[in-house]
Amino acid sequence: MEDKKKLDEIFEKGLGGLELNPPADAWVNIDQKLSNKKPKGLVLFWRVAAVAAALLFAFSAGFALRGWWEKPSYNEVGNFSSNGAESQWVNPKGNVGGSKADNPSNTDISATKAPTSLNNTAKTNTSSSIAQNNDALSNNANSQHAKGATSIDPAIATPASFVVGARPTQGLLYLAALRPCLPPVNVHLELRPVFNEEVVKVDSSAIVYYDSNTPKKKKTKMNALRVGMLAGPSFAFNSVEVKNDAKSNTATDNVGNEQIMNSYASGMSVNYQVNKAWRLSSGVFVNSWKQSSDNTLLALDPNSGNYNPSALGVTSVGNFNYSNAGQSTDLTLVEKGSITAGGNQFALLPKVEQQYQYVEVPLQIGVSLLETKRLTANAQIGASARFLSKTDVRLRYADGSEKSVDGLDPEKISYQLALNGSLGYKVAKNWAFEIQPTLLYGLTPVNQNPEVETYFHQFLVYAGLFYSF
Amino acid sequence: MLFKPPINLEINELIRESQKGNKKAQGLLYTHFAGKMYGVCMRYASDKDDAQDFLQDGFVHLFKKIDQFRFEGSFEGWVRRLFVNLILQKFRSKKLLYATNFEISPAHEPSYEHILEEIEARDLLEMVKTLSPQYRLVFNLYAIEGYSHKEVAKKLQISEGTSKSNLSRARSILQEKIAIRYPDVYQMKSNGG
Repeated sequence: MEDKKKLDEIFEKGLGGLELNPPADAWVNIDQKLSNKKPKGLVLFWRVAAVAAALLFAFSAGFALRGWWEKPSYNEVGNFSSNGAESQWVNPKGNVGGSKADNPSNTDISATKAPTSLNNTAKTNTSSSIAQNNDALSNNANSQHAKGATSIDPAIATPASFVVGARPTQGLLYLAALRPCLPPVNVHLELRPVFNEEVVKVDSSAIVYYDSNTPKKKKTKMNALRVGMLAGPSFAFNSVEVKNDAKSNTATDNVGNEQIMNSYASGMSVNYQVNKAWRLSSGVFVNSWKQSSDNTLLALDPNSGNYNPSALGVTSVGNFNYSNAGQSTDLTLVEKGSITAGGNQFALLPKVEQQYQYVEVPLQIGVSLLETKRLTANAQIGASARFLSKTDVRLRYADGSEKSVDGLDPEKISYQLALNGSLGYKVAKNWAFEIQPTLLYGLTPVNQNPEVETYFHQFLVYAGLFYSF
Repeated sequence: MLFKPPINLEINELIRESQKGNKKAQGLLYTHFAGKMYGVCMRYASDKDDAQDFLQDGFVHLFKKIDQFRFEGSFEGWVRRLFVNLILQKFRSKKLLYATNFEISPAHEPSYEHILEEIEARDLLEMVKTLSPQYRLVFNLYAIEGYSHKEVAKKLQISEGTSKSNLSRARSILQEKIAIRYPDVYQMKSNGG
């Protein structure tokens, strides 16, 4: 019995308090296992809520900003200034007859403004009256306009509630609604102690032990490729340069009257992680540019002083050139007879709505700013090629009718400086939710207009999910 | 040489911070207990790989359960029990436990009165690791952890008799190992010296 106890004591004494150097990478593995534990309870709720809010934000923004002309509105054109003189105007559709056409400078008709009781018959009659006074404006014009007039939907003639100026605010409201749903950010200092003879003091409260012969962290396979679907609102602005030798005095006025609309963009982003710090990004995005103007002037030929096909109106994208455009003979496009301002005569277009859809192909290089278990932050810089994929220019009349026109001259390809940051949150293995504030700053003009050089700029707030392969 | 870091914070403070999920505190707790717990793991494991698995899983288990520690009794004892229980659970899940029930003749039991106490822990550990899992567990639990046969039987889900017989067999095997490793010691015993 004594021998048994003696043996037990030997082993108990020798092994009971045994301490051994653990493997150097043990803590790293433990730390990783601890970090990989499934989220539960509140944390899971916030993650799901964040993703849901982001998707809701992205798609509701797209819904709100989609095709604004589908909800037509007509901002009544009020008095406008040209060359310092205030001019009166009328909507000729309800009033212009043969006598008005004979005397385009007659200001008596100014008392009648944008009649809301306009009907198809009146409009057709107006066209006919004009045609009778100008042989060049043939029945073709009448038939065109009549065709357009019969397509009027009474429902869309009702002024819609769409207010251009509300869009940025609306966007901010979306952002404000999103912010509380973001998960709490908890950045902590990771301690990676391993046994060693050397001690490095990091700060007064934390000591990190390291071993130069042992790996600091088990190498994990880097996910080199990431693909993400992004969507978000676009807040647009532009810079326009009107050339000194502009052919038309109306250029400055017309450009100044333009209102830029917010829109919506979406697409696919592809990232290739070159190494831990750097990555290349590209992708394909569908973007759009929208603008409208209420007071687009058409300069009339001073020699004829009337609805002359040489009438020209300059927008920031291109010219409404009645002499060269397909609608050269369709003076029903003109909202009113003529205007006299500063001694010059003008015609006035109805509300001009322009939309240009682009396919964007960015190429960027990015650098990692922050990489934790859950959070990532990156900054990217590069250029984006913008390919014009669709043009839609419409004139909208006071009664809600509209007419598609062309003749503007946007560039097919333009280039932008592409800057963006990204803030990512890893919601699951291989999945990350990211918000990417993006600035696209036009480097080349988007139009071919020799009188006006226009650069489109956009600030976008993309949101979406990325999957790492 | 085992290097132990100076811990400026009180151990209880580290525990509290670890319970809140503070990674720094968890790291310091790991640093403080890793050596001892690795020793425990090595006693139960068949090899280093198993011991490393035990160590890692034990600490993961510890930090998941640490909020259950109520500051009643020794934290180290609580950690050790947690590790041992986890290791036993692993043995059970791997079906490494099996009944080894046979009696050893008392005539075969050697006397240990002359065994030198200078036998190094490393040798002792190697000897323990040569035991079969069942013997190793019983010997560790009884001789080193200090559990009774009743407790060992309950933990391993065996009978007390089995626990006793396994212990006896383990002792016999270890004695033989010592005799081989330290023949002089055994010779001294045989000679009555």
